[in-house]
Amino acid sequence: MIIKDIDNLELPEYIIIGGGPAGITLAIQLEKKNRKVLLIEAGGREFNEKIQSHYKGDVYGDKYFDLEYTRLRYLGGSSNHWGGNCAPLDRYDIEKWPLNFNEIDSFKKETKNILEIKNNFVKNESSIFNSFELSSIENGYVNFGEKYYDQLKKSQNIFLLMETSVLNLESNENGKEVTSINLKIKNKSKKIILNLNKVIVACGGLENSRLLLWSKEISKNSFLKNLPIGKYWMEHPSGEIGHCIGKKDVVEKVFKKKNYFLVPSENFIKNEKINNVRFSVQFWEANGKKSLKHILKDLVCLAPNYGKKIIESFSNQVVHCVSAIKFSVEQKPKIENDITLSKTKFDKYKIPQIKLNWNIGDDVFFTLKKSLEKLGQEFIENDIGRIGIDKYVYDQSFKKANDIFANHHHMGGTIMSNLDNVGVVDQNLRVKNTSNLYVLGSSVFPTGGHFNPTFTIVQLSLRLAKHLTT
Amino acid sequence: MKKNRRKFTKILISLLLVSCFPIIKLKAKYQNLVKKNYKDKIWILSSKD
Repeated sequence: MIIKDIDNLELPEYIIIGGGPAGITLAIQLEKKNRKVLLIEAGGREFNEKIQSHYKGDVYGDKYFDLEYTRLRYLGGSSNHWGGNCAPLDRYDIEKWPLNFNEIDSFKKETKNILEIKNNFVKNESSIFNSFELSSIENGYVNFGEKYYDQLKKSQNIFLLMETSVLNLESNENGKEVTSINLKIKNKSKKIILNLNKVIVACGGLENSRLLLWSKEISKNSFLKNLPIGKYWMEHPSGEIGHCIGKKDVVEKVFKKKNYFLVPSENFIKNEKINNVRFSVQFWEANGKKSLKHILKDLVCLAPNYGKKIIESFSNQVVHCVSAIKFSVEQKPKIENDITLSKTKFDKYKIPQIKLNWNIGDDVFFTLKKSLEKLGQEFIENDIGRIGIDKYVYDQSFKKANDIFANHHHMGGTIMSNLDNVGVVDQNLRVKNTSNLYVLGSSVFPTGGHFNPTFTIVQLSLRLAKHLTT
Repeated sequence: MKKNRRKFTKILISLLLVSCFPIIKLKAKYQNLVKKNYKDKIWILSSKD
């Protein structure tokens, strides 16, 4: 049910901060087990410029999106503007997490239902290449705010409190238990929720860190101290990386459908010590012949024999095509990519804005170079065509370009790890050294793979619901 | 004697060249070249291209 205040509310067992895909999924699952939940959402049902302005922040390092608009502060969170692309992370990615792959994979079917995905995912299917396999992304476009609003409204166990900002969390004297939440409900004075049972922070890949950092900073005791909050922040560097000229029928066959991608095999990743990555091609069908000739002008000086061969094939019909190669690549978690709090800029409630330090890093360019050169060699060996790689992969001149090589995928900051001084949460997403505080969302990912994170966020939400109720 | 020596050297060099040629040719055949510093692309090419 929708509530406007907390004055007369008998406090539920679970308090979830954040009404995005993670928070809503968890609330719905807890309700199924007849548990009572208070779901606090900072925004309303629609976009509001004033509320959104709380997300202002500064970026240092490589070019990145405006932090105010790279996520959304209203019911449904960033599912209000996502493209719906999703896929489960590879087994290889999860193996680096402090949990078993099956613990995540067992929620795949349920996640597909939530995201309304009907097709099966293609995972590491063999291709004509030795070192590359095929994987697919499916469209699971679900706007969580719209899909679940009626259910949240009718529910007798979920109490949805919108337009309410959580200002900070406070703990007991030894810092091990969250005892109160300070919040500001629209048009009301600041309030405190006391006598908490379990608190789950699910505000997104940037705000999770911000809320914990601020709570830590103003805490008078050891609450959240010595935890690397905000560290190991990651993205999925992505963009266009070159072109391929190839036999049209073969290239089309390799990338059977638009949602198919070439991914390096696990052996290749391990042998070459590269990150996980995926490549797709974008066909230039509308003016294919013209584009092909344009690219050939460059290529013919370097490779006259090959150029001649293709030009000769023009006489009857276009048997070759030119395609732009696109990529999305894993970024290694690095301590220097982090979220900190501004000392000079604050939002309306005097909470410091975010300072995001983000650089793409050499590991990404090493991965792109190694894997594309290998793909180029396999194009030759299989007599498919040739690959031209953009120079920026070699000289990193992208740093001077206006393009942003990122994907609005905010991961890390409160990562999951069993190692001391690395993780903020344990394998059950409980904040270390606390008894009743959990973090949920992509901020807990210890590695990000190359697939869009929402599918894994929903899987983790289902897993946490199971953990909290058993 | 000198002429014979020169002849012998020439034959030796040509023999060496002939014997090495298939190896060089074979190597070139399978060695893909990364052609750098041309316009905005670095093309992965075969030596035959």
